[in-house]
Amino acid sequence: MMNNNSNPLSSSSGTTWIKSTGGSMSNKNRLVGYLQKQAKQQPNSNVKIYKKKWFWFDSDNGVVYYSNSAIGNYSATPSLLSSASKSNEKSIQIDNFTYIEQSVSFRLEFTITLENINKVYVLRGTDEGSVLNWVNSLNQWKTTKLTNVQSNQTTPELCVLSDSSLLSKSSSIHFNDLDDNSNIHYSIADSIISHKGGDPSTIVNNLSSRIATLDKIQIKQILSSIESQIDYLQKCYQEVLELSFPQQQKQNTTITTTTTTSNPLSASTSIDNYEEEEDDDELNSLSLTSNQAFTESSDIFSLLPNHLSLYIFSYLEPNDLIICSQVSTLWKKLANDNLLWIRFVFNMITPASVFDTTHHWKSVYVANTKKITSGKEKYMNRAISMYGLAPLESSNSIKEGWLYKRGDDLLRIWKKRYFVLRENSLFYFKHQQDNFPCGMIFLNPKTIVKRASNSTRKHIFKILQGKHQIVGQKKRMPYYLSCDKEEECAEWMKILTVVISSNKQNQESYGVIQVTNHGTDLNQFTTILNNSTSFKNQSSQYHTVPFNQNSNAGVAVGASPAPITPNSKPSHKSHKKALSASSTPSSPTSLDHHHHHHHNLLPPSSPNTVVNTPPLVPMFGLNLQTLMKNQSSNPNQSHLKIPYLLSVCFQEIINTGLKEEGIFRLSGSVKEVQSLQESFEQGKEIDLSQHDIHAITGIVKQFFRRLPSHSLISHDLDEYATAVQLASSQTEEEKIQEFKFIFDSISKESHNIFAALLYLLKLVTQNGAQNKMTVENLLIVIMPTLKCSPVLITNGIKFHHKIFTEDNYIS
Amino acid sequence: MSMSTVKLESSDEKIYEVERDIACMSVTIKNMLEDIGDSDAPIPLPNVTSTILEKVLEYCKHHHEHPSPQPEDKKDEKRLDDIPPYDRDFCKVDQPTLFELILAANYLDIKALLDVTCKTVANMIRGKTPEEIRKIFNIKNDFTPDEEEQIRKENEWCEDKGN
Repeated sequence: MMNNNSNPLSSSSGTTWIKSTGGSMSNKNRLVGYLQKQAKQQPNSNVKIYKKKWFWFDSDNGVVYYSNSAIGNYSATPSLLSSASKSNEKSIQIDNFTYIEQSVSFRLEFTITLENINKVYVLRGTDEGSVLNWVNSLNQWKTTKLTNVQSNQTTPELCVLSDSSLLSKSSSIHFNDLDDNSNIHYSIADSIISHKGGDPSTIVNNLSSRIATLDKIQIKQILSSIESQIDYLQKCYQEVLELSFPQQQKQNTTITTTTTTSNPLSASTSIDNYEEEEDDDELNSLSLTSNQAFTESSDIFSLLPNHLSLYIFSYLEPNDLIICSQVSTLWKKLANDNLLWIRFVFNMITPASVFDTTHHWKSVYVANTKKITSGKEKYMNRAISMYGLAPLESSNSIKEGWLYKRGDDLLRIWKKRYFVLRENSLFYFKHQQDNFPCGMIFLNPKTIVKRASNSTRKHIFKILQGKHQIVGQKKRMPYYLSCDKEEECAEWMKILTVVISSNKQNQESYGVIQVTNHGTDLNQFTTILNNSTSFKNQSSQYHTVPFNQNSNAGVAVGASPAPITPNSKPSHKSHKKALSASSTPSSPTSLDHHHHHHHNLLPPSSPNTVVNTPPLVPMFGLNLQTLMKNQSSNPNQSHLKIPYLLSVCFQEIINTGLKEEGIFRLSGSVKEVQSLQESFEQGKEIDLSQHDIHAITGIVKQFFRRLPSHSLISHDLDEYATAVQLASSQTEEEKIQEFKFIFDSISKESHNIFAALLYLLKLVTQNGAQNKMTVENLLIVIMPTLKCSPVLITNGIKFHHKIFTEDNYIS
Repeated sequence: MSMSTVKLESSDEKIYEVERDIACMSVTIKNMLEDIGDSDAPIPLPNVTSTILEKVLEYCKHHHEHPSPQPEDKKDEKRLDDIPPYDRDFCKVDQPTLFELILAANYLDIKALLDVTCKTVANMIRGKTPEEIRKIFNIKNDFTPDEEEQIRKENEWCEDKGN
């Protein structure tokens, strides 16, 4: 606490011994100067506060006066001083029961003890000389004046331990017989002070000139005792000078230590200290740094280590934390701590963003709580947080409307989407009322909006995202958007350009995307997993897409143009045939589909019915649970974890087909596939090695295509898989864990089928050199039949060994 | 482990002899005992004064004799209203003592005591206005009026909710 004022204190140097101009010193010698006075100790506080006061001693009536500041000038008489400042000054009456002694432990300190009223004043000087002056002079005044006045009263022996008091004692012994011993005392002391280190002979001369009544022997005795002390005194004096600054610092440290630990350790050397109440008022009026230290010390929170304060705060709810952040700067810092807030946002954020340390969870919480009114906004914010961005500030759309978006996949199909532009994000929804956007285009400052040439649609513009979009992710393909009318197109482009350029200006206010590698904390991970489950549940609540609308994102939709519903009429057949004949390589299978479709429905008039007996064991188009249940009743097949058809086909493909060029791409004969299907459904023993491998892959594809929508994987999990893939903040390992979680969350039947299928596909791609089927090629041909997100398949193939742990996938 | 008692020495050099099991409720002391093995020498606790150490030992003794059933339900760990009556009374001390107890519990690593003292402080904060909190803990409002206004604006929405 004295760090700042130690210098001014030492410069405004302590007691000044003012020598009178006249020869007589008894009345006019005054003790005047600044001393530091220990203030009354606060209850509950062990900190000792010292306050600088102006002290003077009136030798006429034996009163030490003190006040806050020096009044008048040094030469003013004490009486004048006291009359001038009656209101401020306080006094200490020196009487026989007053003991003045230098402090045992600290030589710059002395105490005035008023025994009869049980009061102790602790005073400090800035150098030992001044302290000794005060002590000696006051004691001297006491012994001379008071013993003179009250003659026979014995002066209590002083227990002064300092060397200089020995000096004064020794002098009083020797000068007991003298008339004016006070004079001699003063002069001796005066000599010592004014001739510090001076030649002893000067002192002798000085003394002998003044005290003619002493004989030489007496003087020599005195001098020998004096001289023996002088060296020591000088040493002490030097030491004090050297140490006075460090000592103050040392004192400082003790005080700081007590402050920070609030540990009453320093009490060992303290003397109980009492003082008038008025002094406490000065605490406010004085602007010493010590007061600040005092105020701080009483704020207990500032003494606690931050981690403990945070621990206390961790018990508080958001509302209380927000209140806390308004208390003080320290509290604001503590209450805004990110770790405190993550607890509250767990159910608001996507698991993918949990690992992103760049998030400010309080603002996430606040934003989410603010926007809780609208489910749509909640999900838009959720989508945003997947990209590691700050939540939306405003809840007003800049522009909304229907646009056509070209698919990102290879099929490039135009899909009608409802677009909502908010701040720097362009969301798109399948339906206007949807809550969960099926995608989001982040308009970063580097985004470019350009006209694009007409393709299958007109009025097209494209959005090119800047390079810094998402670090660690491949540069994104441009988004192609198309409008129905030319004016609309111009309108959208204009607005988007404005938005992007305004983002440029306040770029820093938007979250900068960063990909950081975070250590995977197992506990945290568990939380995420739990959390993602709730995420799934929530999104399924809000999702309004009807199942039969085939609303899967991505390839599956575009790739199966034929509506696969049991209600399709036979008259579709010829039309579909014509259509598929001119399209993709997979067209034979889609032809197959129609054959089987009819077969399955068994229209009595169907000319295509090859087998007359109705199928005994339907295998196609059933949901997996039913299929597996049926299968478990067959003793030959009950051990299988996947449908019998898949099991045998997969085995056959592994045995003979892996090195076959164009496996899964080439189609087998329609007739053969059809006959295979019938054989399976009739439960015939089939020797697959007698069949074309491409017919076998055909029947596998057929099986998957005919599965009811979402029977392999629920729509939500599928979407979640896409989200995981897009999430910028997760490491590969974390993503694998997420995918594993997804595969573990689907039904047991689906899980087993995926495990087997992906194992097979993995083997196929491993033989890419022979069969010419890379992952990309394989995806093109297989995705239209699998109703799930391609990311599931790619990652499932890539990390099969990490995601699936079963020993045997196929049989 | 032959010794049934251990000696603990507070910062002001007072020595307390306590049952080993009670002393071992402090993880710090437990670790120290494991480190030094069997020894008659008192364990110095330079961060704990005798007054506080007495309080801490009183708490440990009570909970040693009345072991509270461990709540298995860890779902809602951050509850504030689950302080047992004894602990609530135990924490009815003046602020400096309470804060020294927190420091001591932290230093001695006695989780139960740390929890209960921190909860007590949290309860003192809960539901108060910033001004009330400043008064309770003697905290100086060191915001400038501008800052204060800004912070108030930032947090306006939560006051609007009025719950």
